[in-house]
Amino acid sequence: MRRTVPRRSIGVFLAICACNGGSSGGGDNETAGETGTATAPMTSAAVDESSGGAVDDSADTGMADTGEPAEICDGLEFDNVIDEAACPKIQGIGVEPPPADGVEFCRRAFIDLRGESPTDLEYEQVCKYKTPAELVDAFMAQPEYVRLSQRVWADLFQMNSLVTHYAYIADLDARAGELHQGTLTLGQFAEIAATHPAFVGRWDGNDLVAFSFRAFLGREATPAERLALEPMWRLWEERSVVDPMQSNAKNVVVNTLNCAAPNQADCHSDFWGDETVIIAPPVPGDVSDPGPNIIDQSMLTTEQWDVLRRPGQLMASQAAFYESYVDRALMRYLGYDAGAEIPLARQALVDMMNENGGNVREIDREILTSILYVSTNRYEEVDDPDDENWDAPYLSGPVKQMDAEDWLRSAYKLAGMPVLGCDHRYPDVQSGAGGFHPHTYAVLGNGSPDYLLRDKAQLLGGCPDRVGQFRETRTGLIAALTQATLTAELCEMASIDAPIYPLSVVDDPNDKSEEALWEAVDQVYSAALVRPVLEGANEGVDQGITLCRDDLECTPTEFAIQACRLVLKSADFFYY
Amino acid sequence: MSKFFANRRNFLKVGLGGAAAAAVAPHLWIPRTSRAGMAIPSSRHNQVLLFSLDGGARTAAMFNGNVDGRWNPYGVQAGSAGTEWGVSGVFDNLPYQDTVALGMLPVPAITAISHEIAVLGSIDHTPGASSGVGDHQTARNWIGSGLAEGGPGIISRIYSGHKNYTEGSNGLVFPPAVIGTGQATTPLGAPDGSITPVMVPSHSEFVAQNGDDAGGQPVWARALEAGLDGYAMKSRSNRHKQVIARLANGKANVEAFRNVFLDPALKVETEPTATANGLTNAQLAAILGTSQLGRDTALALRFLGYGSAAVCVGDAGDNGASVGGWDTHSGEMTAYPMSANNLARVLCGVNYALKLMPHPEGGTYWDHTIVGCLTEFGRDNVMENGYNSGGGSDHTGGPGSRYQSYFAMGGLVTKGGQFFGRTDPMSMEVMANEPVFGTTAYYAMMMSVLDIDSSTFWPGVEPVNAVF
Repeated sequence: MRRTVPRRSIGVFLAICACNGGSSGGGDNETAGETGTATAPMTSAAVDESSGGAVDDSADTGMADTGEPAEICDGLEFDNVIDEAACPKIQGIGVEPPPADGVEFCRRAFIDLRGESPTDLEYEQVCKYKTPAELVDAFMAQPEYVRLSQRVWADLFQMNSLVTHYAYIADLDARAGELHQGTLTLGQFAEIAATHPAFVGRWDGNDLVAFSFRAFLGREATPAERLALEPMWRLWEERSVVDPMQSNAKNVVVNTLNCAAPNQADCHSDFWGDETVIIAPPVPGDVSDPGPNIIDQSMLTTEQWDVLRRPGQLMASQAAFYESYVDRALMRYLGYDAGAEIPLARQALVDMMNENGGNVREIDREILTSILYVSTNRYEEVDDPDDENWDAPYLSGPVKQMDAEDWLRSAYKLAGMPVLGCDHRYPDVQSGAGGFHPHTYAVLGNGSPDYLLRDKAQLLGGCPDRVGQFRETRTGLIAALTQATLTAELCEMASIDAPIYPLSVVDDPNDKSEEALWEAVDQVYSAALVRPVLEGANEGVDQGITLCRDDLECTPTEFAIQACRLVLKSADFFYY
Repeated sequence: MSKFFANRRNFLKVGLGGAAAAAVAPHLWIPRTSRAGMAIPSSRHNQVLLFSLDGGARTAAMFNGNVDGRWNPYGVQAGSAGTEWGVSGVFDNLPYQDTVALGMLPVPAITAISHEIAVLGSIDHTPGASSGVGDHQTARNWIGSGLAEGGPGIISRIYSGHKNYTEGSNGLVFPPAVIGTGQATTPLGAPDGSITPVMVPSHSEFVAQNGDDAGGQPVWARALEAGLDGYAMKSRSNRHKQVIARLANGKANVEAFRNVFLDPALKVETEPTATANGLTNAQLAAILGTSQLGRDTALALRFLGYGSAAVCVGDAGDNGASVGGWDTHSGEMTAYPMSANNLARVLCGVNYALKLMPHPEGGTYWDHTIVGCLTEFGRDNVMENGYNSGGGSDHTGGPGSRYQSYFAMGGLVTKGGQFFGRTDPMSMEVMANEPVFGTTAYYAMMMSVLDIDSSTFWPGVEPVNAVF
């Protein structure tokens, strides 16, 4: 059965593709093909015909023997270094990925840069008349982009005031914010962060090396590296301190006695050159603790910081330093290891960082405006169980799973519930005699933080505590069960003025006609996904509607509530 | 009971044979690896329960106690008759009495059941390599997938390869499960294609995930949802289809196992009178204790009762260590004994509970289950007192952290109490003519017990058979 009834006319659909200059189709009555579905690159046979051999996945080098990809790309003009670097692997093999239409791109950028899925009203107000580049620029100018970037660093540093003084965390988080505001370079940030009290207060011994490597070199340190480099952090220690807002607070100190004569070698590393990180005891021979030779980090002089920050300087001088950021950013926005898939694109971005001095905003923007990001992720490919035969991920736009926190925030917003967030700095707010330390959670009547969204997000791998739990995007039975439970609650509780308020789509509670049910599901779907159900899904929706009509217990009201629930946990909503 | 501390000094004084053997060990010596020979009891009706000690637990200081004080600062104590392995002095040795109030016998301490636990003292991620694995990520790759570069998780492999799931079964067969959220635990559930096992953060979070209705949804709603998701998959590339299929498979399983999820026995903390497999939740709490690990293990036993071929329970250890859990770079003197005894408490409880649970194939779950453990690595970089300068220990990949002690327990283990893969008490190198057991071979053993052919993904790896 095909849908024959007209769907509710929503103005936004008419302008769906405005942001792409109408080049990809789109609009109210678009078919799957009209939305800009990409197709697989030429078949092997076609490639054989044109290039005399099967598709060579290593186009950076392997395709050069035919000369064709290079010739094709030489004839094109690029304003994006990724597009240019990726050309031999995309246009060079005859693929021209259609751009995502306005709605698809709006959702992608909205979720990636604002941490929420847009409502149809937000699409109208924010996205509708902007090109992808304009939209990216607009979003990157907002604090949400900085906040989401800070969250990435908070995960990397495993920030948690259960272990570290909250004020240190706040400061390091602010520095991460400066990095993404463009007022700090990546090198400056690394120099500060690798010995920031929030970092040296979080880790001990060899782990200081290990987590520096993870954050700034993108890999694990080998045991030899950890042992050899740890002396450069040898001076750092902690001391318990009374803090009215954190009963477990510890201050970070430099214990100059650790490498006082004759133990200077304990602070020496020859792994990356001859490096010694020593602060001479101000009062030689005094071993009192607390005492003059145990220096609180807040009392360190600029000269002393210059010495102590040597590990971060050395990190920033490593060949993998920029590459590490580039790979992480590519993974963040594309959802796959594009650095490994297209090494020339990675290198182009590294070159760009070398030229701009380590400005990460420019790197993010370059990725977000590249063909890899702006292409549609609708893609036709013949089913094949052998992943060796699958098309490369860069031939279509990215498909990513929403972070649990972002999914919940989006669902709460649609259900008209207060949109609470997690404070990415503090999974568990600590307290002392003076109450809780500062945080951004909502506050309950008794003064304690409102962990409602945090606790729900943790069920799906979001808002991690970073001690026994780390950020994940979960799928499978339990994730589906959790989503079913949470969406049932949300759709029952949706407020009357909520964008997805199910009962508003039921004009007549006794009208169980096919047309009425189609209209209900289209409206619910539109509220969550900006546009009505895509034509390709008609058959399945028809089946559900038919079964509902045959089920005496399925009322239009029940149908609308269930539609709300299943749309919020649909693949279309969850993957973007 | 007095504890005998096997520190370096008194170890030399008593002159145990091991030390003598070590003294004559060649400087360069390639250990022989474990070879198969004896039959491993294989059956699709067997089950596996694994404990993942997140962070890199000092296993030698629990299960290979007869070594120098640097490697085991807690000494050793006598185990039950027939015990070869060094039962660490860190363990409490009194029975757990919580069950008495429920009219049951006390749960024996580990010192009383040590003869039912076999220990492999030379587990190594990279047998034959010049050095061990000392970094978390590589170690997690190994324990998650049995591959250095990582890959589909062990529990996912079991789900995709076990006959109960590939060929069907007469009864309801719940999928394999991973309980826990630790960074070393979750890789065991890394998807194998679109196959993802049950991933539960914890027993308490599971209750919140389950809700009151266990994801119930009318038939028509499921059809409508399947239609939407089906097109979402169809209109994507194959690699994206696979990703979205995990979501769709999960939804299908919610419906398939809804009756399981509605069982109050799965609410192990909040439904004390609920019963399954002959034990109430209150009894399980008394048997296993009420720690996070105890409760999570209770849920694991419930999943096994519903037919899970394998369940892995993550143990974060005690958070007293400054880094947290078993990753005791500092603060170990306080944190480690608590972590070790919490683990022992639960192991003793599992030993006790499995024997009380009738198995549908006859006998008890004890007769059909093998219980094991895994962790990233052991600990080293310690001083004479057994700790580093921060009162903890590190992991450099040297022999102290490289050669781990994994246990195997259950009715299928016929060589309980025995110790395989002895290490030099001073150097922790594997002694001459002692086998080295690869982590992958240990997993292959678990696969063999479940009647799964592991050779397709670990070609040439012979399952460990020493404990049978």
